[in-house]
Amino acid sequence: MSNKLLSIKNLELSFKMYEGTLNVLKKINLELEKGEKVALVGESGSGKSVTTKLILGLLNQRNVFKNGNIIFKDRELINLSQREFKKIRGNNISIIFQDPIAALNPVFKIKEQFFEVNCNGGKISKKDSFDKACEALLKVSIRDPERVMESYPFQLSGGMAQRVVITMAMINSPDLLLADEPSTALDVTVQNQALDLMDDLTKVTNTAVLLITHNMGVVRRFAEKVYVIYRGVIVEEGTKSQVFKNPGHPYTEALLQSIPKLNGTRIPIHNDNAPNYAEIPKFTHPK
Amino acid sequence: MIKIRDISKQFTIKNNVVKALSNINLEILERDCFAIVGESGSGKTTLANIILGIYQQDEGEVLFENKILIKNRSLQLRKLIQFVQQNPMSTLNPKKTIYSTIALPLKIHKIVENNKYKEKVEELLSFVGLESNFMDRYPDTLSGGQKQRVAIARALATEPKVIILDEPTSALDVIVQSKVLNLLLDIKKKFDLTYIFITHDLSVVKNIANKVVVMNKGKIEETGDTIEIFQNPKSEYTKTLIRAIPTVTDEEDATKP
Repeated sequence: MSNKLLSIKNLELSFKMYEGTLNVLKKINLELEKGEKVALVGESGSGKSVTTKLILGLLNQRNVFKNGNIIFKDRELINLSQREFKKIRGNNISIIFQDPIAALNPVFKIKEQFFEVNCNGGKISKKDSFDKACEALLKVSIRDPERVMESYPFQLSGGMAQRVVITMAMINSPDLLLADEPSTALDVTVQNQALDLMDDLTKVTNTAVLLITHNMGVVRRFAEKVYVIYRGVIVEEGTKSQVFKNPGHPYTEALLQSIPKLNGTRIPIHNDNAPNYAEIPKFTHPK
Repeated sequence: MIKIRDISKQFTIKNNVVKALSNINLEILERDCFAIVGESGSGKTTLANIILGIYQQDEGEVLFENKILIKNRSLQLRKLIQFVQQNPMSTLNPKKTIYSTIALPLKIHKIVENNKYKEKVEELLSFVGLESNFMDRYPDTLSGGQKQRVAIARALATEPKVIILDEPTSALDVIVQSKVLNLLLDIKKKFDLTYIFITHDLSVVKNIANKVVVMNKGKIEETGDTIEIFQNPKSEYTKTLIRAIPTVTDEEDATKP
């Protein structure tokens, strides 16, 4: 059996708007193997978040037009019914959103939200669900899981809430974890803890991660393989060291160059007469 | 230029007392780019709000050019210290055109005569690299970087001496960030400004500020010249903070403590 977990082929997405059609994704191709950590990097509006939404079947509005293939474990996802998707979400594919406080429902206690996720994995009593969640929370170094379970989301700090969200996403040992800017809303020290945590948990269950981020530093810390996306086009693909040591596409180069460096003495100057990066063909590093 | 003496501030939420700042002493010189660094909840924005006169401190005093600043200050004083906020989406009034946004401080502080607003706004926009056709547009039609440029133009309108920048680029993409930061540096040179730069991004601080104060839980951990603090951080907290910065090259990692 092949090691392929997810493959996206010629995926296109457009929104029909009052002003006309907006092409968001233009034939992107992306592949993930089992247990692999892949990053999709891009600036705001490049189409990185909608990619995760498409994988989870969350874009079903009437003005959405999608085309292409999303194949997960030899199964076509793109036109799956919501009922089928319900079985996949949380069990096979789960997601972590950017703002942990917003990702949790403010009117339910954490234990109730855990119960919902646990039910997804099969029948379970409230007590068993509570114990299972406490055990999982202990593993992510939350020292007093009982208190956290009885809390409402606003009573938790950002780092704590993100740990809860990560635990919740991982509790049914999914095959694929989509992490949409999981550490952007956090302080740097907490950000590192969250990334380490994701790293540890996914190793245990051999879960593949698709990390969506705009932060190249986070990519360098976490991912094995990198896709760079610019205005709906993948412009570069390669392993982490290939992309960071020898960026092949001028956009990647500009992106890396614009980041203020810790050993630098001035703010990098960006070339104003930059070419239209989307017109320059994709650069694929050799495997 | 600005001296901060023994400032303390606490907030009472229900019956919990939160010490936001305790015994802060700082001195900001003319033409400094003074960075205030810390994680969320460290009190950096509270400190800025006290300097601006939005909050009243519980103890201590703020001196501006050797005069004590009080909360209810005169127009003249307010004009000299201006503010650029973090979120470019919420800093501009969505119902007002860019022209009326920038013209408002001109009117309040009577910077130019009544019939010259338009020319002045045009001039201010040109300082921040925007064309004059932006005047009739609404904030919704601008990108994040453009909005932040408008906010900078508005701060410049009153001809201030000090601008407090509260995370001015944290909501922007890196390429846009480098453009806005370079713009800020150009403006600083051109108008002889003093910046108080509030941020959590230490790599930006390293490249822009000449002095840094590191804050943690309302206290000063460390303060001094930027180069000194990055090369020999004394406090453990500063070291942890510098180590935690996500980097993109091996050379950067080598400079971490």
